[in-house]
Amino acid sequence: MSAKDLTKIRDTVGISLIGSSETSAAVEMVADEMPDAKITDNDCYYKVERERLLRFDMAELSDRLGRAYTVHDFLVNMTSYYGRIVVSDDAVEIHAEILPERFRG
Amino acid sequence: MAPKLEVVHEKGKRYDWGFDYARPDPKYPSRYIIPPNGKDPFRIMMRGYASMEAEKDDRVYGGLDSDVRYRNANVAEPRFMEAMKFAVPAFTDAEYQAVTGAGFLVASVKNQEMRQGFAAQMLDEVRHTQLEIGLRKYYLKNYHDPAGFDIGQIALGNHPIGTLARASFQPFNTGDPVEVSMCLNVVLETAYTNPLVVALPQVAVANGEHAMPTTFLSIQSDESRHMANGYGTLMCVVQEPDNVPFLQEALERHFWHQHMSMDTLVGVVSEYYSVSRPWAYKDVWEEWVVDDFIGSYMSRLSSFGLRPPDRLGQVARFVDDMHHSAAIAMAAIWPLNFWRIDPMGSADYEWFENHYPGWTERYGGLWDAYRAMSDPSSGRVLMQELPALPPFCQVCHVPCVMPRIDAPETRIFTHEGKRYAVCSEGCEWIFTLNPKIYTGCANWWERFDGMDLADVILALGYVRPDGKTLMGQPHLNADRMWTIDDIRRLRYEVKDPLRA
Repeated sequence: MSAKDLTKIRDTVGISLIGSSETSAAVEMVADEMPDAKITDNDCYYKVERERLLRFDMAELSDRLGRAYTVHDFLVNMTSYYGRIVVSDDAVEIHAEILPERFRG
Repeated sequence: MAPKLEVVHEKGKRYDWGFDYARPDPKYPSRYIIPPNGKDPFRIMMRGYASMEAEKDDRVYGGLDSDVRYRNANVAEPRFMEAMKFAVPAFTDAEYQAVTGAGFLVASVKNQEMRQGFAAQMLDEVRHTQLEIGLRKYYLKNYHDPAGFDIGQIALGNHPIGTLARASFQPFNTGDPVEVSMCLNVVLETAYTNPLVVALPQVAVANGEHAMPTTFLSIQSDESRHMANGYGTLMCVVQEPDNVPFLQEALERHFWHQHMSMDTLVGVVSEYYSVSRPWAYKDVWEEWVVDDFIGSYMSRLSSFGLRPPDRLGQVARFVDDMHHSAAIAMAAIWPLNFWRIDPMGSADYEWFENHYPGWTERYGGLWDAYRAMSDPSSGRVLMQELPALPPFCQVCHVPCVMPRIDAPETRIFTHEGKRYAVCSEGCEWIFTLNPKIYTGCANWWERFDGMDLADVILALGYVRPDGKTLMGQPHLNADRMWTIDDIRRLRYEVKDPLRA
């Protein structure tokens, strides 16, 4: 085990996507639109990580795939995530903050 | 145009109803104040859920058909396939306990949105059980040496270390409902399913096995929603200051217990049942548990007064060694297994020494001895060479050889006139929280104390269809298999190490 601060707070969020043609489109979208994101190919899944926020827009993914693509289609490919997820009709977002707006109040 | 998910979800909540038509009789009362404002991050509605899950199933079963078509089960490394004989039933034990746990949470949480998330989880857990049975059937029908896949669930329940699964997963449906969610949703599913069900499939791929990743990565896509159920529950109750000490205790208890079982299971399978290793387990643990779970989640709760687990440093120390000790302990008792264990060879020794300096000095001699006794003509088994059998921890059920087999931190004590062993300070603390939870089951060795080893194997049913060849073998060779007669010739009597 490396000598690191095991409890250090991170602002990083991440998502793991099962290898598929749809995931390839999502990974290409991240590479194009969030160049600061870290993408790791783990043979059967990709792990995508970024500081503060990851956002997957379904209209953008539909364009890339050439067919309608919904959040439920996206969630078929999402094997895991860390951070606070917010699922809405047109996007999947993962936030670093512990209480994104939807969860306040 | 279909209405938006957010609109339908909000509208659906208006159709909630109360419990005034019947007196709810919770299985276990809660000591927590549970505010009614929990949120489901996924906004689960049954229509979207059903279509999503149907698509997932189609993809999994399509993948398995492809594996059948291309004979993948016999392309995969047999060393890895043998691990599936005990690992998959352990998963199924978890799913089954979680089915009842999620149902228990549906009945306990007075919040429509959270209930919907838990209802989907209950269905998910049934789905996972079915997928795992499908995977086991695939292995049984297609792998060249299926012995052990046929009796996996009952065999695991009787196995000396297999009871680890029952001990680890029973808290999914027993106790305070908030603590059920802390154990199941927050600690196991958010922290530990990632090494288990996301990282481990990469090891399967590296060893040529495709059915396990296809199945388990899909299962984990449901676990993602379960993590969110935990988040919704935790964020609801952590905002009541009176709840925080209870949450802290629950986090400490379940983090230590799940660490003992999951770090043992994933560490052993990924490093000792693989020929090709894409990573060292200690690094995977640091990535998924320390960075993602602690750093990006638990540490961010300090503003509510909740701390990361106090024993995190102890866990890190154990993770460097514990799976090495457990792996050789499992090999030492190989006649009591229902799967086969390939001896480690020179390429394995080199990998372990490179990734865990000092490994050869600590464990190499034991693996040398195991390999030397792998042929029945040796007339010896490694468990005969041990000064005494290790007791099993009364809390987590791992063998008391932790974290290092040459320097175990075992504690033996008497409670209400009976001797018990625990593997560590953490498990001793858990025992003292509520001894009644842990004193109900006999130590495994106690059940068979005084019996000949051959009779123990027969009682467990770990023999192949010919009635004499053992399921467990200390090698992967097709010939030179040990039989019950070879074991009887050893004249080895099982002795309970805790017998006064």
